[in-house]
Amino acid sequence: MKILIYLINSLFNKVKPIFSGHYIAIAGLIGFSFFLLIALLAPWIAPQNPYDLMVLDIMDGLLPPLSKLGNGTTAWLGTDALGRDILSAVMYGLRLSLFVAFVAVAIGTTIGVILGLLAAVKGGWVETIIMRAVDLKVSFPGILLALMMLAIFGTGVDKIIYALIIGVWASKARLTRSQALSEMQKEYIDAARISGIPNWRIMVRFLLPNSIAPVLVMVPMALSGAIGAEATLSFLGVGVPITEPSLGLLIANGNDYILSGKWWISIIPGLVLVSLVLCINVVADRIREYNNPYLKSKDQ
Amino acid sequence: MDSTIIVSVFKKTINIIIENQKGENTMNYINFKTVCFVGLLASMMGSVSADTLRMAYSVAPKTIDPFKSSASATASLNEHLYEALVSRTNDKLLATSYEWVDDTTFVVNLRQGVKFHNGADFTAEDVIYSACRMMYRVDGKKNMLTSALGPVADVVAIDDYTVAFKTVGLYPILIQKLKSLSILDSGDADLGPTLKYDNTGDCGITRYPTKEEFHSGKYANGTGKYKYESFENTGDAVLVRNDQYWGTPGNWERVEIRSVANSGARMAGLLAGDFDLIENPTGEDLLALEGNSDYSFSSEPSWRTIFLILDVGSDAAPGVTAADGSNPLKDIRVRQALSLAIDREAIVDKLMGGNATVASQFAPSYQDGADSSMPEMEYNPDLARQLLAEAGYSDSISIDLRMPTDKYQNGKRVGQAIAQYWTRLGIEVTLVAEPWSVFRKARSNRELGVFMYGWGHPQGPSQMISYAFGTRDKALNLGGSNYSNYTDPDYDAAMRAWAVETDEAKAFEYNQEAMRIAVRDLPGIPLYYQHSIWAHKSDISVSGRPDERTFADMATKN
Amino acid sequence: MIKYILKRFWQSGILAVIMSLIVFFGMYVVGDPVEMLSDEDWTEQDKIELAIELGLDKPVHEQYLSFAGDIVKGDFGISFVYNRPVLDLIVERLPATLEVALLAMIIGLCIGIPLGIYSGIKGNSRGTRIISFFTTIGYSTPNFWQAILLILVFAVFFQWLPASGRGDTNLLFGIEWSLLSVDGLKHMALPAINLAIYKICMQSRLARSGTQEILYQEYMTFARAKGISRNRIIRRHLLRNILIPIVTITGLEIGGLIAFSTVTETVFAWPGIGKLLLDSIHMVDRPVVVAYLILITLMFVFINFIVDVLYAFLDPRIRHQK
Repeated sequence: MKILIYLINSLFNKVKPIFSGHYIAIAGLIGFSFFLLIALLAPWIAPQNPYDLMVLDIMDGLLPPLSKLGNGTTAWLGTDALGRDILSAVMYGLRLSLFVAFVAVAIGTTIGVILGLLAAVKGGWVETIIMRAVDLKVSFPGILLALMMLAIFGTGVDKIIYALIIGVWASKARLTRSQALSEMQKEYIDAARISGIPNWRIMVRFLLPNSIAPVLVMVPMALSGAIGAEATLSFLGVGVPITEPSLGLLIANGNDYILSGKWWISIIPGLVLVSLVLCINVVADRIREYNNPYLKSKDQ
Repeated sequence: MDSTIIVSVFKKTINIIIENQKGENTMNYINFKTVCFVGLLASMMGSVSADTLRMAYSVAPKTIDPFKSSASATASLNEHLYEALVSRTNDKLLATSYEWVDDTTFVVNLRQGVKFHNGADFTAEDVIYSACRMMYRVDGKKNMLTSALGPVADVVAIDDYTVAFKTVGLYPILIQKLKSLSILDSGDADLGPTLKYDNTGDCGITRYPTKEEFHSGKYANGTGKYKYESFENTGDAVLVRNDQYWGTPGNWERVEIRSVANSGARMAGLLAGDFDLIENPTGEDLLALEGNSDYSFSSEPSWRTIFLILDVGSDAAPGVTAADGSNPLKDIRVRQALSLAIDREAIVDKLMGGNATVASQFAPSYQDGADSSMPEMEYNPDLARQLLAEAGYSDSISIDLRMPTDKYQNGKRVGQAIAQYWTRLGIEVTLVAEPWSVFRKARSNRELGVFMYGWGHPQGPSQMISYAFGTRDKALNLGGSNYSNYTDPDYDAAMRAWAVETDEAKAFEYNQEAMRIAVRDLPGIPLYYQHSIWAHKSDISVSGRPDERTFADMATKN
Repeated sequence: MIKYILKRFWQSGILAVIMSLIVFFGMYVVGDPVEMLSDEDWTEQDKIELAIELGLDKPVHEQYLSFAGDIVKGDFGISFVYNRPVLDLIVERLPATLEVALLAMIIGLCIGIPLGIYSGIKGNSRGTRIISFFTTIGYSTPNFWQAILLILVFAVFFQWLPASGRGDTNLLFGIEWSLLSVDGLKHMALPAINLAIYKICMQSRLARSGTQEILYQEYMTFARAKGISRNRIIRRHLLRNILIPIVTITGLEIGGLIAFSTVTETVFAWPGIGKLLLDSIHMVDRPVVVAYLILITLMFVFINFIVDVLYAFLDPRIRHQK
């Protein structure tokens, strides 16, 4: 609990100076918050539940933006072939895409940090195995690894989360380990060891708080990467199930119609996806820039 | 590659260089002009002769050896080069007439004066040789079409232009099966002293041409309207007109066939002028052609029926549950309700863009031998709800509807639409769409209680139902795909009679009888007949084929 | 040094073996090749014969052993679907992938590096902001979405460039190249641009941060203090130092390009190995998928190995290790 409060506190204190005066980054942050809010509130603010087959009517299919549906409501952004309201589908798709990415990055980062700390503290064969596994992973393009996994295990929201976790953990483990190793060379760790504090306490109490900052800096980047990867895999037809489309699958569905002038089915989710990733990347860039000593010295 | 790794590697290099720099500078000067040099110029493309037809297939042909694959795209390509005794639409090609002289002897009179591309004459020996090549394990590999000649015991030449097929028992559909026997030139192999057919394809032949020799063009030698010019292993092929063809020669001097699997890319290729004719545009793409006078499309009702299969025989159908633990699909009223709930008209209009026909049975009503008087399947959601209530299954059934993702036109959307309709009946539907490979494995493991499938067969309407709903009978090859676990004595009696009936009219009657029983009992639910569509430039006109194959002579220049 | 190289080499070998195991046993679970290859009207006997012929009747570990044994002999097996040696299939399609990757790389370098160095030197100028705005958008846009837009704009709307396929090829050294014909180049343009956009963004960002890091080194300040002209500083000190890491990274990135080409090749129907992989996954063409992934692993292992050795040479701390 203490650690959590500590983390949140230090996070807030750090956030303010990062963004002050950087309007593009602030815009990114606001944009991201906006998307996040929509995703969270989708079930309450969306005009329709696009996953509920009861409310969909194929007689409402392929209507352009601002059309009236059979039940009298207006489809502000049009409908897809199955009569799914695009506005609602995008809201829910956003929700799903963000959910998948958040869960994958959270679990992946946690696993990475734990393995990185373990490697640093334990050393020996534990470290060898972990670091060789890291090598195995980073020597392989993430998209191929995910394709392979989904080819083997089939598709579905859970499967794609696993595939994304595999893409996330390794670089975090490597970074945590190097941070922890440099932290362990400090004298107070030796002092703690000599005074008989067990390894796990040293890990949690000293190494974790002192080596997690650089990992956290990587999180926004990992998030946008995971969103992009999920969209790509869903686009290739090995991602989320067709009845619950994410942004990537919505684009893939609409892609069939793009030549026929029914642009809204593909272009709207596409724009939302790009805006979302852009917002996150702008924020991520600023955070990284802020943490880069060369650039910081220049700013000041 | 992981971008963080790249950055770290990058940093590492920079650091090394910076360290080097602090000492003595030993690095060589690298002018980045030497790294980037490229002239990128794309000027106008060369012109294409007016007598060339450039087609885009949706699936790549795998081989130009006619017996190595039964896949439709491969057969489409090969049909340009090789001919069978009769065409798939029952026109006589290399046969001029045929008949069963007794129960097990089928005599075929051959066309005279036909020449192979290499100039050799076509005779009865070529038919025997081709049958041998079909059965022979070239390169030690099983051919894909051997089952067609399974019950054939012998093929003998009566004279140069008459050949007799001897079967082990009654095999009335032999002529249908012979449609896949492409005729090759026996001169391309080294025949032994005597050519004697046997079902291993040994036949006393000492050397067969290999698949590679077909690919290189050395023996890609048939009697068809087009001759080999080139074939790539990617499936791309170039063909030229066979000016010595026995009938009306081909419409085109030169035919170029490419394969583009992605439908959007295929359509874009047409719009960009890469192709004159593409197959299987999506219904959506066709909307793009409307109002563009440079392009047009042709739609032809095909032999493919899209239907659902219901496990009506098992006590517990996989993925189907009812509150009382029974298999609700055993109740005919439930099956009727499931069928009545589906608005096929809406699916055809809205999802298929009108390019499909509402089904009346499990095979196209317009195919030879079908009963064309059967009424279309009915849509009546109120009656459906009522039947379900009568059967005592209101709001208590849940169904996993399984389907392949990547197989049928608009399949995914049709699956979702059916799920919509059933959900409105108060049934809990989970749509499970899987890649074809995974789906087929699950099907062969009998893990599918309710699934979507499509079947198109040139051998007439009897083919599908004989495999799908007959009680298993290995000898007559009935019921091999009976995933409905359906069994009905009247149905079986009709099917068995059909299987041994050499009189075509009578065979049709038996088949229609079986079809009526199947539609009454609904071991599956017919949905619609798919249409084949070709999009093309408007300076050519296209008359499509029902067997989903794309053949150059479908197109004629205006 | 030699010990270091040997150690890396050994580790790489283990990596390849593990990869082959994962892939082989993973693919064993998916689909049934016999079901994929057979027709509806096949008899039971036909299916059994085919299974025997494909070696699928043996237990899975035996299948793996004979497969691994063959690989060591350089035989990657026969494709179930194409019925041809897998290695031939891959080798045939490799040039198509490589030439697009190469073109994309060159475009990336020629545009990305100058942009990056410019923004590195100019600091916070308007030009830098515009460049960084566009590069941020560029790498925030998923590859497939870019591809769709490219097709929409250049192939459908303006009809300048073909949207699919490889076009005419010419033979050089026994290999077909699209690079050598005008039609081929036109077909290559969109896939190459699609791959290059990400490269441009990546390279320019790398070049930018590299430039900045070097600019703030003491020797640069020293050079400026000495009154050396600005152009000379950029040419003599900056460029030579920034190019080496970038060229190295570029070498590494060939692998990444090949991986990403899976997406690009699928959208543009470019007949390279990426498309082969996706098609084979859908068809459960196990030998192709397994061989592809093993070859790709070997390639990555090799690239990483080369890079490690390169660094060992570059880094005096490792170089002088005995």
